[in-house]
Amino acid sequence: MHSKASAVNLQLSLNARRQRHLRGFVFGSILAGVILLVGMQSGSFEQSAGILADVILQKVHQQTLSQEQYLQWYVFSELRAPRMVMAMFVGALLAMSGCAMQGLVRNPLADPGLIGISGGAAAAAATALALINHFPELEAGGQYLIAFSAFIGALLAVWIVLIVARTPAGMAISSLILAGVAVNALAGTHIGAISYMANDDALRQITYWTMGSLGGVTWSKVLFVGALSVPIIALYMHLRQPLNLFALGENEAQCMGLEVNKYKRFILWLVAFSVALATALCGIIGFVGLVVPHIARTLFGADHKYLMPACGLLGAILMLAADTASRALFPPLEIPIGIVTSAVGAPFFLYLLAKQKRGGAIA
Amino acid sequence: MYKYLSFILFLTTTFIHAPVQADVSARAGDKGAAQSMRIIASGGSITEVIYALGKEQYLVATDSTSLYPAEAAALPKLGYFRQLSTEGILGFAPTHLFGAQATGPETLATQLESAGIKVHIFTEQRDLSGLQQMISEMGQLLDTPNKAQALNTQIEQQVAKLKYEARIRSQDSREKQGAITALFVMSDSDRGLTVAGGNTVPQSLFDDAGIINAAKDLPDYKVMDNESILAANPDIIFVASHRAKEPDALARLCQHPALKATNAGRNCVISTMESSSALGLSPRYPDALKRIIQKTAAFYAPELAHAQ
Amino acid sequence: MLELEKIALYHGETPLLNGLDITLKVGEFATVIGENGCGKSTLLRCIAGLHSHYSGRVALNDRELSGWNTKTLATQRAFVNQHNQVQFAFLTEEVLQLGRMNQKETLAQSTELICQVAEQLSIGHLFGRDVRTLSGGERQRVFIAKALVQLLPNANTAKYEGAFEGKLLLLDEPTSALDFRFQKAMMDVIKSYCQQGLSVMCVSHDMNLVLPYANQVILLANGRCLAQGQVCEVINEQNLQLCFGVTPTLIPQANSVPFITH
Repeated sequence: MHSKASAVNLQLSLNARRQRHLRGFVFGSILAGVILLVGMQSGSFEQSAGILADVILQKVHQQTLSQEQYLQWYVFSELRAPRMVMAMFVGALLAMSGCAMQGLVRNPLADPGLIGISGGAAAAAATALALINHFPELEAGGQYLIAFSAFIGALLAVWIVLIVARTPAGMAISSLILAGVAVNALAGTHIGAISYMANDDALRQITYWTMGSLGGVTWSKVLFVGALSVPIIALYMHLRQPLNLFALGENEAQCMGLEVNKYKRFILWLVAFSVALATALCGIIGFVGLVVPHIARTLFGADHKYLMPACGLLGAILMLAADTASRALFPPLEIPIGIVTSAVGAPFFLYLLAKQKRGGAIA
Repeated sequence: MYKYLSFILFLTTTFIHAPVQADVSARAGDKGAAQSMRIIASGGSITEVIYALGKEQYLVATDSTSLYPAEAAALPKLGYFRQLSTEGILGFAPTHLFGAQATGPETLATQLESAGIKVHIFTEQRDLSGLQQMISEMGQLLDTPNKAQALNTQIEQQVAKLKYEARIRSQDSREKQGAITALFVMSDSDRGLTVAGGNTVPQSLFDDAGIINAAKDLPDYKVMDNESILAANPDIIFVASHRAKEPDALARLCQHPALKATNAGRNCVISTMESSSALGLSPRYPDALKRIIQKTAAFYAPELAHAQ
Repeated sequence: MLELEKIALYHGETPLLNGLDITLKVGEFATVIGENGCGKSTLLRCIAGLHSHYSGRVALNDRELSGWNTKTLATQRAFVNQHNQVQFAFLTEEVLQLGRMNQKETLAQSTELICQVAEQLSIGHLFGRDVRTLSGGERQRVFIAKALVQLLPNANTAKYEGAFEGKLLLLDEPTSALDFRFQKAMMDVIKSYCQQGLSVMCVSHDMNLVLPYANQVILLANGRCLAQGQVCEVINEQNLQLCFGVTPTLIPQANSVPFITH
């Protein structure tokens, strides 16, 4: 009888929590919508919802547009809209990867970059850029070559890290991180060598690539990323329970029925794949994987059942806001989005470190 | 919790919603002057040539490197030419974009063309004939082929005259010495000197002036190691002006470990060259050439040695 | 239901324990006693399937460890570590809920079961608290509760007396952080589960607390099993002297389990 009452209480509190989180998701979605609306109208090119609405109406009625209206529509549909959708996908991917990474290594300061992804991507992209510069015949497919190289480079780096960190007894997280540091250092050396031998042009391009930008986003790129994001996000959702178990410790997780080694590898590769995808198409965008899971944890708790989708949503919102800021802060200049996320993320990270140092637990 | 968050986010987003900074007249003038060009110029040389051809009234905005002439520096700036913003450009409602080869990012040209802007990217040139080609092309695009031709002829004649003078004087003094060696310094740091090697505009200037580039075996602009500089033993040093702004910059450079023991360093024979005309091809090429010839005159006629 | 045959445990290259033959029956409570570093915890971890550096045969319900599916094994045996760390702000009930992850149940059913166990271990008032903020003893009770929750049969199966037959609970110093009241309460709860068929192997330094509950005692010393059997057979001055290297004083008690003191 006694336990019946408290069982009911427990159920009630669990349901109440679920309701609260669902309300949070709804709020987040609305917020995303608001930022989308604001972002649509921000930037060097003057645009407002009213003008756009007129243009859309005219299009619906199959009427021809004036030059000015055509430009309005062009800026919205070919420049801003694809960027913002891409921002949402990339933000969700990066944030969920960060969440998975932190859950796997049981450290709230972990970031997917730990396992060498960004280093590998940058090294490969730099190589591709230098090659294109040297062999103008490659210029035509340049973009694809760079993106493809970055993708392969990221995965290659992770592969090396996994090999180095593997021992017969399994893979200790600490050796993983150390191997990641080593691979990042190697990548840095490679980039240094390429930078030294490159001419002015290539050097600049390499620099810009590493800053991360949504400048050249087209609908085909968005569709590509979107199509891949759907299964990836589904997989992250599947990982919610395993990540909860990882939080208790690998031995505990194994004892409770999780195939730890299998899931460890799976999570690492999924993180590698998603971040490689985002990096290949948009360059290096840092701190999203680190900062978003933190904020999400303070708002939604540590249970990955809610935390993971929250990270996806918050990541999308953050990148939307960052994209809007990158276009709207100093028109007609466009600040590379990697710089915006770092400018916000780095101080936040320092604040987190300080908080941890003072003895408080982090999220 | 949500209240605070939403309030902060709301503040940030309203702040960020900055209206356009684009040229107001752009909006107003759109309907009326539909026939005239509105040109975006990307690259200092491009801008200069437009001014030289007298078509500057069509320029609406340039990149950040377009600083010559002074009026160009006053035009709205779009950022560095390798990383321009499509949206930023479209905000000026242009009709044309004329850009140097490295104008970027890669998607810029396609995006602008899809928006109805005519884009013309000029191939990068490093010598006089390349300059003339660029001027002719520009003349065609701006519908002023005669002026372009005239400009080209003028430049050609000036350069030919200077080259002739240079050749004569070097022939005269051939018994005294071989050709002189010069070094063009782009920037200096404690790590080394970045110099202009082969296939650069300074190389072309040196060739026309009949002097040897100490760094001719280096590709483009590179750091030359101190030993190679000493081995080449330049007689005179030219420095890009944007790197030698302080009063004692030149004297300090003569003390640089790589230069101290060279002919140039020991006698501190060092001059500045205006960066935009010495590093990029422009109609001021003859002026740059003239300056180089002037500064090296002392070697050929010691009795006419100039002070710096 | 648990058989260990000719077990030799290794720690890297060094042999730790040798020649172990242990059998545990349904409903039996075994305690493992030995000095620090003799391999008690390693033995537990080996049985749990966490330590693979061993030779010999470990069979749970007549099936070798390697032949068990991970998920099914998790419903049959649970392991409670001595120290339990959580890195993120999980709540007590969230930790307990994880114990039911391998069961197909409704939320109502699983919360019912969780609350039953929480009631027994007096941790109901800790719901809603961040596990990291609990005291050592509170956290220990939560994790023992989680292990019990893990072993509870599916809510949809009919309840009967032998619901825990064939299930194994491995405990590593379960009472080390508990206060005087909860030490006894904890042991009573565990023993009550033994009466429903649960087999328990418990490592403990607190001999006086655990021995009254034990059916079987295993004394480990010098890399091998010194003695094993019932309490009255194993616990005597000579064995304890050999095991710990000090002569104990045994004071006879009413329940025929001697009180051990220095």
